[in-house]
Amino acid sequence: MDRAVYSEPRPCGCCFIIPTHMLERLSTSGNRDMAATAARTLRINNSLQAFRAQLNTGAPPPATPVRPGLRRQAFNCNGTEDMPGDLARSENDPPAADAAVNQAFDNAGTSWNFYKQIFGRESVDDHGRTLVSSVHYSQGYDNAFWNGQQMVYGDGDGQIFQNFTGSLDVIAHELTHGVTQFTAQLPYHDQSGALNESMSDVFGSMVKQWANGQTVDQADWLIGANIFTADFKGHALRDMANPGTAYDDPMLGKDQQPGHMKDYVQTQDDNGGVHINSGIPNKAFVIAAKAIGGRSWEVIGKVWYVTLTERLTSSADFEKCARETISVARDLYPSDPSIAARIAQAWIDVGVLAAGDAMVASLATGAAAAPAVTAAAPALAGTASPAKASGPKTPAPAKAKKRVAHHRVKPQPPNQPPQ
Amino acid sequence: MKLVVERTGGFAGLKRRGERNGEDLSPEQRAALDQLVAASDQQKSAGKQQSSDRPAGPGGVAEQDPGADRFTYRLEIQDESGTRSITLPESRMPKELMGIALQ
Ligand SMILES: [Zn+2]
Repeated sequence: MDRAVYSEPRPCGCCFIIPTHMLERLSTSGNRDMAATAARTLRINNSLQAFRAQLNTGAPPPATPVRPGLRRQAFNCNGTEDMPGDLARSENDPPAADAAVNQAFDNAGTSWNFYKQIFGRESVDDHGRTLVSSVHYSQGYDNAFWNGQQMVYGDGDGQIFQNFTGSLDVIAHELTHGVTQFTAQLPYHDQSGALNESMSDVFGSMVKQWANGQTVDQADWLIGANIFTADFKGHALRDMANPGTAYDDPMLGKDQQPGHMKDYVQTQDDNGGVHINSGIPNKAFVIAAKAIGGRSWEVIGKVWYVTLTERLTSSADFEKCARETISVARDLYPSDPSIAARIAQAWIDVGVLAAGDAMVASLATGAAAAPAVTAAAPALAGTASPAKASGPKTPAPAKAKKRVAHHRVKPQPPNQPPQ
Repeated sequence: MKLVVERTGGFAGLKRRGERNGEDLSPEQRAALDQLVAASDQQKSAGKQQSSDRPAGPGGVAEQDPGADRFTYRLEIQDESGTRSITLPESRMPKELMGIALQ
């Protein structure tokens, strides 16, 4: 039994993250001391970049072998901030006495199964890293977060938020921050930060839809619909299909998310509004998902996955993401140009790409001629209902051996003849 | 003197904000605040740009805790000499002062 605590490489917790754009601005500023310091820091940053990237992500060295299989540990902080807390449940253990421990453990397992069965991914680092969760963090703590190494959950304040561990989309959201950290490493501020947030919402919602066997039309596209107390005036924290409409509460105010670039919020709060402006790429995803139809993880989910894990880098902004999703869609589905065209149209609808964009124009012919897509392709591993495969501490069943790793995603034209 | 404390970020991305008059701060809160101001002054005079004072302009980003969905706190100290602002990741925010944002 794997009971080792933190046996894996730990990222450096001591590094400040000073955005390069800020240093660059300072290094050319009029203040000579400031400029010199910033320029020096920039040089150090650049020379240490590769090393730091590895430290920050905890990415295993290239030679590290993949350890296939699901490994989880859930810890109980018992209301303290001592991390990770007391080990409360490991893989193959029977359920613990504590409900939050079991919820964090089970929902991490469902999320792991989703990534394994749909994309062939072995945990957040694709090398079999143990999924570590800590629950009952601090007192009245109304948050869930990824701390660079693991997931951490508070119990909520009881006034606005209940506990966070009962919500599958919340847990899949946090776990996806781990995937992003080990892949695109989208810096957590401004547009790249909003993309980072959007990826967590997109895959968080997708995991929930997969677990419920829902089509894109059946999905509620809500994030955090079940973490509030009854007093809260709203139906969720974020509404991906209709950004800005999730809540309007006398104490917390109104949902500020924009659904179009013309409403992009310039702010210093929340690292440049990463949880606000994520509404724009969220809405683009929903528009495209509904236009393509079927189940989100079958077609568009694969496009977004390959974009996140192979195409995006730390310099990505919304436009880069838009172009990469279109490009990935063309690569994965060369015989069905309507997929790329519908994704392009979604980015146009939210104002990230212009209607006259050259890349979009090159798709136009194929888009017009393409047939409507109603149901997505069968035959990819994991397209069946996950109900029997995603239970607590259930490793991926044999059918998942048809591994669809990101570099092995087979182009699967989803345009089956309409039934 | 008036102290404003704002908390932004977190999974919810909700902004919480509260304020307290200087004379209403407890001795512990007062001490924590004085310590933060002193540390901020020291960083400034040392010319370190890891300063917790957030730079001007939209999108300027101060020091962050690692990971994602962490809280960020901003303290605003208003008195006769003007207003100064200190931005802190939650790991460096004194516990005594956190509650002010939630009042
Ligand atoms: Zn997040």
